Amino acid sequence: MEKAQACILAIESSCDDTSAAVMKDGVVLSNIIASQAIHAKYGGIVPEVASRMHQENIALVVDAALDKAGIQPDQLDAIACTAGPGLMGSLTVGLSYAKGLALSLQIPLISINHMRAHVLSHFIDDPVPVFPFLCLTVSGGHTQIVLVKDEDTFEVLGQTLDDAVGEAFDKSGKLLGLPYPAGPIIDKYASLGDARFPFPIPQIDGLDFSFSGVKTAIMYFLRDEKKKDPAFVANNMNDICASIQHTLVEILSRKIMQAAEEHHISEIAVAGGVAANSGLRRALGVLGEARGWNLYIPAMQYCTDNAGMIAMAGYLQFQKGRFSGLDAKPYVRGM
Amino acid sequence: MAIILSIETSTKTSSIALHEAGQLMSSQHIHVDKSHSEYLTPSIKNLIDTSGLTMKSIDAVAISKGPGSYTGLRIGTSTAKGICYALDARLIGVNTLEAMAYGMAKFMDSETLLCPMIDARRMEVYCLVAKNDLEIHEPTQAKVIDETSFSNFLADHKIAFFGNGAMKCEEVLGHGKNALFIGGIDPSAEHVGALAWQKFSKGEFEDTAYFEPFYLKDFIAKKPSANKLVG
Ligand SMILES: Nc1ncnc2c1ncn2[C@@H]1O[C@H](COP(=O)(O)OP(=O)(O)OP(=O)(O)O)[C@@H](O)[C@H]1O
Repeated sequence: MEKAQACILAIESSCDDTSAAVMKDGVVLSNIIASQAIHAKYGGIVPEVASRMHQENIALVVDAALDKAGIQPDQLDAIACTAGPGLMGSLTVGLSYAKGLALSLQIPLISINHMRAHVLSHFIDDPVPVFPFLCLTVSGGHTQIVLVKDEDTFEVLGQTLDDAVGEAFDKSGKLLGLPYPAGPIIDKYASLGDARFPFPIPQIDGLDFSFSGVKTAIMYFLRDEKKKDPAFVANNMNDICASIQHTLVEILSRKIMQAAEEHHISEIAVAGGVAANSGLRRALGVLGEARGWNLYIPAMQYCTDNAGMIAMAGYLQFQKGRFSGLDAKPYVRGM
Repeated sequence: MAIILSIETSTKTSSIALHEAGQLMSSQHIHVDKSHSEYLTPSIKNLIDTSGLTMKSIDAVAISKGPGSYTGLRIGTSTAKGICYALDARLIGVNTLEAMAYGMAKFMDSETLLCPMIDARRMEVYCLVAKNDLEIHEPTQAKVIDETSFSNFLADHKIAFFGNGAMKCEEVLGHGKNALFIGGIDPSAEHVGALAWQKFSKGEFEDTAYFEPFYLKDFIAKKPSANKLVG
C-alpha cells in the first residue's frame, strides 16, 4: 500500500501504564511509557489509584513523546487513542485528554481497540506477517488466539474462560510470596531451575484456555509440601518457578499448535506482555522450527501496553480516512 | 478581552460556559446521568461555534475542581488539560462548592449563611459554610450529617442548604426554623466562570501538567488479603 503522509499522536491508558507515542508516515518517532509501580504495594491493580495516576502522568507523558519526536502539536494530523477494552476510569483519562487535544487542534480523533492494536503491533517493524495469520495475544488481562484475515477483520478463535495467562503468572507468584507483577520474576528463576514438579494441563474444548485449575493445583501442592518442609518454597524456588512456567507455556503451545493445524496457517504471531517470557519464546521457536512456521514477536517495547501500537492502528485507520466522533465512549469489553 | 471556557462536571450535570472579561457569553447544561464522557467535548465545540468563536480564542480554561463525583472530575479535568496543552492556554481551578455558594449568594439576604452540599454516600455530603460575601466559615469537608450537625451555626443563624446533597438532610436537620432547604440547585459553569475571572485577573493559575482534581479524600485501598490456604 502507498504510505500516506501523516503525523499521529497516540495515547494509551487502558490499564496501569500511561503511554504516548508519535508516529510519522508509519515510523515510530517516540514511545513513552510511564508505569505505575504503586500497585505492587497492593499486590494488584487498584482501579481508582490507577485512574488518579493516569491523571498525574498524562500531560507529562504526552509532552515527553512530542518532545522526543521533535514534533509540535500543530504539526499533528490526528490523535489516536485507546477507547477500550480496559478499566473504565483509566480509559476515561486518556480518551478525555485525547478529545481535548483533537477538538483544540481541529484534527480528527481515531478511537482504537486495544486488543486489535496488540495484533497490529506486528506492523510497526519488519518483517511483518502475511495475511491470514494467527496471533496469540497473551497479557495480564487477556489470552486469545485471533485469526487475522486483514487489517480490519479479526476473528477470536479462542480465549481464556477464567484468568489470563499473565494473571496466572502473577497469582502463582503471589502464592510463592513474590511481589507483583511476578511474571518476569518467575521467568528469571525458571531459567535457573528444573521443571520437575508436574502440574496438570487442563483439557478444554476447542481453542479456549483455562488457567484457574493450574493455580488451584499449585496452591494445594505448596500447602502439602510446606506441611512436610516449612522451608520448601525457599529451598526449591527455581524448580517451582520452572515447573509453573513450563505448565503455562505448555498450555499456550498446545493451543496455538492446534489452531495452526486446524486453519492450515503457518504465519504465527505473538503479542502482549507475556510474549516477553523466555520459556514461551523458546517453546514457540522449537515448535516453529519443526513445523515450518514463520514466527513473529514484536520488540519488547511494543509487547507490553504501549502507545506505539495504538499509533500503528491509528495510522492504518487514517490511511482509510476512518475517524471517530468526539462523542466516542470508553468501553470495558469488546474486540 | 480574555475569553474563559468553564467546565463543570462534578455532579451528573455537565455544564459549560464562555465568559468574556467575566461577562457570561453563553452556557449549556445537560442534566443527564453518565453523559459527560460522550457529550462534554461535542458540547464545547457546539458552544464555541454558536458563540461565533474558535477554540483559538480561548485564553484560559476554568475547571470546577471538586469535590464531587470522581468520574465526573476525571472527565472534566482531563478534557481541560488536553485543551490547555493544545492551545497553550492557562488552567484555572475553582472549588465546586465555592462556585455554588457564589451562585446562591445573590438570592439570599446578607445574614443567611450558605451551605452548598454535594451528595456523597449515605448520610455523607461534601460541604462548606460561607457568609454571603463568600468568606469561608467552615472549609470544604466531607461530613456525615446527624441531628447535631451545624447546631453551632443554627442556634443563631439562618443557613441555606442547597445542592444535590441537601434534600436528604432535611429530615435530620430541618426541625429548627433557621434551616432553609432549597431543592433543584445544580452546580453551574456560569458561576465557575465568574470566580475564574477573579482568579484570572489576579494571575492565579494552576500548573497545567501537574494539576489534579480536589478529590477531598485520599483513596485508601484495602490491605491485600493474605493468601489463605483452605483445608
Ligand atoms: N517475562 C515474563 N514472563 C511471564 N510473564 C510476564 C513476563 N513479563 C511480563 N509478564 C506479564 O505480562 C503482564 C503484563 O503485560 P501487559 O502490559 O501486556 O498487560 P496488561 O496491562 O495487563 O494488559 P492488557 O490490558 O493488554 O490485557 C503481567 O501479568 C506480567 O506478569
